[in-house]
Amino acid sequence: MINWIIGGIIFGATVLIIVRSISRMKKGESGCCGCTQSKCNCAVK
Amino acid sequence: MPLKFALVGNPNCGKTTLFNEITGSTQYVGNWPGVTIEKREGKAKKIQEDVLIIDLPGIYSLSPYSMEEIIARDYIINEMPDVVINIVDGTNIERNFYLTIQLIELGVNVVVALNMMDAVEAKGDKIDLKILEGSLKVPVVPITASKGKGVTELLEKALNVAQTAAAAGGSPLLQEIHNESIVASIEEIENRIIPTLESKVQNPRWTSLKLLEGDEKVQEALKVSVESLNQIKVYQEDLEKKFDMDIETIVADSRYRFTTDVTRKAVKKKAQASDLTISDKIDKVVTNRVLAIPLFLAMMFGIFSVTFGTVGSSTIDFVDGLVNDTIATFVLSLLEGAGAAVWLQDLIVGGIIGGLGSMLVFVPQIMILFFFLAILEDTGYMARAAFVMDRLLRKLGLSGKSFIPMLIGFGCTVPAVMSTRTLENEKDRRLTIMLVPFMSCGARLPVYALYTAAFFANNQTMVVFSLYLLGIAVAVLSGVFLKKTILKGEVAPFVMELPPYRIPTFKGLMIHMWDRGKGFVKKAGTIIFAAAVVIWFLQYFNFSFQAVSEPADSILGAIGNAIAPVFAPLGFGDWQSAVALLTGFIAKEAVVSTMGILHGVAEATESSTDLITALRTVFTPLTAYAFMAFSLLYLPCMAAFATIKREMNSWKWTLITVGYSTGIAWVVAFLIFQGGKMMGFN
Repeated sequence: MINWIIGGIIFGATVLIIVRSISRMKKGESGCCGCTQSKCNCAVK
Repeated sequence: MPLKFALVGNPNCGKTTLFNEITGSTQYVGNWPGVTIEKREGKAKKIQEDVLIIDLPGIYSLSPYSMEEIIARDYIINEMPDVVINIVDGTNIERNFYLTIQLIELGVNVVVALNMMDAVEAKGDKIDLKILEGSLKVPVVPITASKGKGVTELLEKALNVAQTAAAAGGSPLLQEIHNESIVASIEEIENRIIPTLESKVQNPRWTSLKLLEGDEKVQEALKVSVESLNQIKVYQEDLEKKFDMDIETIVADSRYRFTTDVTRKAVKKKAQASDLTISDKIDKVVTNRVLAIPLFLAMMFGIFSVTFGTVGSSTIDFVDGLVNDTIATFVLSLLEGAGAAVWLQDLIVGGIIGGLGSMLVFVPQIMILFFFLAILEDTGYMARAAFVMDRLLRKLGLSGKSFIPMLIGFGCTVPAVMSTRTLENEKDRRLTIMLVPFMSCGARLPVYALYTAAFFANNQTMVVFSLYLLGIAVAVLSGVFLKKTILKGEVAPFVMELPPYRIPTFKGLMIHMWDRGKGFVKKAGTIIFAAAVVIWFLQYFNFSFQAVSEPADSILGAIGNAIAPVFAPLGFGDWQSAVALLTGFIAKEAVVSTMGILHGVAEATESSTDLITALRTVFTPLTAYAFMAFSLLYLPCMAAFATIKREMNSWKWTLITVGYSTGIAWVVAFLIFQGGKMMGFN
């Protein structure tokens, strides 16, 4: 049971991250390059 | 509806610092012009009222010469903010007022924020605020944005103006700024031509002035007929004959005369012992024709020495022990205790902890490097570096303008590519976008840190430094090559304002360092995490989705073995390296995390080994250097690829960029490996 729960969370999170990254890039956002410079909007609160 | 306050000012006058101070944001601030190229919004936190603050790009005028000026002007005209807060560098009032005058001409509600008053006081200068307010007929509030001084008073004043004043729709100051014959022409256009225009004109007085100036953007927006343009031409020619200058110069000259007059009356400069300021004196040394480049190189070398020397290296052992030993062992025992399956233990410990840990180990080192780079930026030295490089690039037929995006590229390719928007010439812009990926961005650092620690422990600084120089050299040589072949054209002139040297604030440096370090950790928790899970999956199963005992038999092994021969002439023809380079397209840090997973770094078993030892069995110093050079130069990461596509707006040019950089990477790595072998290195 624990294998399915933790495994499911990990693979679910992975799919979510991939989908979010692709949709952000499609929208013209950088997918957060990690630079935090103004142009990336990584640091906008 | 919240009130809208727009921040407008010259480049590097402290707009973003003020924006951060008001909104509590930590937007990137740099002591060089052009940090902001798009407008940003944030809610004011210093006052109770609902106020939206808009930070616009730095501009010198409201004339539509560059994209930033068009963005700022369009925003002010179309969005009509309740108040325009014009940030003026108190140490350079005369030049900053040219924009102030144009904002006042526009007839919007302006509040002048006289910034950097601490520097004014330190110089011993005196500014008479009453004379300024009397001359400009707008409120003037002294502030020091970097220390938060006067910011609340500024917001209260702006609030007061927003609540009590209505935009005049034309400036009462026009008569005082411009000569009476110019004003007469403006009035003629306002009365005779504006009423005949088909489009509705919101601000007739300002529009008349712009039509007189021959502003093409305004002409286009209002669809001014040829007949009307001919009528305007008569006024222009009359004035040109009278003043013996072209119309743009006549109007600009009036503004300059006015700003000079106001400044002369309001500013009392302390007599200086020398005509040279401290900034001038420092510049005499650091921009000296002979010393400039050696000094730049020495400074960078010094920074790399600290980062990759004893200080930086000691952090690696600590984090490595923490992540790959303590945490990995602890998590493994938890999973075993909970009865987790072997595959789940391997996924979490070998895949996630091993993958992320291999990259996170280098975060402290990266933060040290960014701390020093932030010092160079915040003091104003980086702007000098661009100036110095311009001299060198010009000799090679390139524009120094390209070097600013390249400098930004040391941090991250994405904003660097976006910052090419400041280049007016399309060919120069394409050229610069093609060169930016060659600059060594922060994401490549974990690759260098890992391989230099494994193979060049005694010369880490020199090797990393040489890779940065290799990136610059390839970019410059590529620039020369492309400029002479597919992107032929004239060299665009480069005019850059050198900001004064400033002592960086500790808070500012910490924010820079933390932001970038945080960026790496955030990336580890998202993109690299996802990549690690996918890589683990692909190296754990074969095409029949059965667990394999040897990763070489896995899906990833098959892919790696298929592409490995491409890299064999470069000295790293093993399937693990091929796969690691492939995953580098997701993010460059993934090269390290993939290596971590494939070499079983955090298996926490008796057969586990650390990545450095594992790499020593696969690479030699020569192949390691060729691998690092390839990692530096080959195709940019996914985020950079998407940005290049967006900014180039062409699949053809995007693919040319990616193909070119990967081709160059292969050739350079080939030359390093084969050349090194011929010279007897191994």
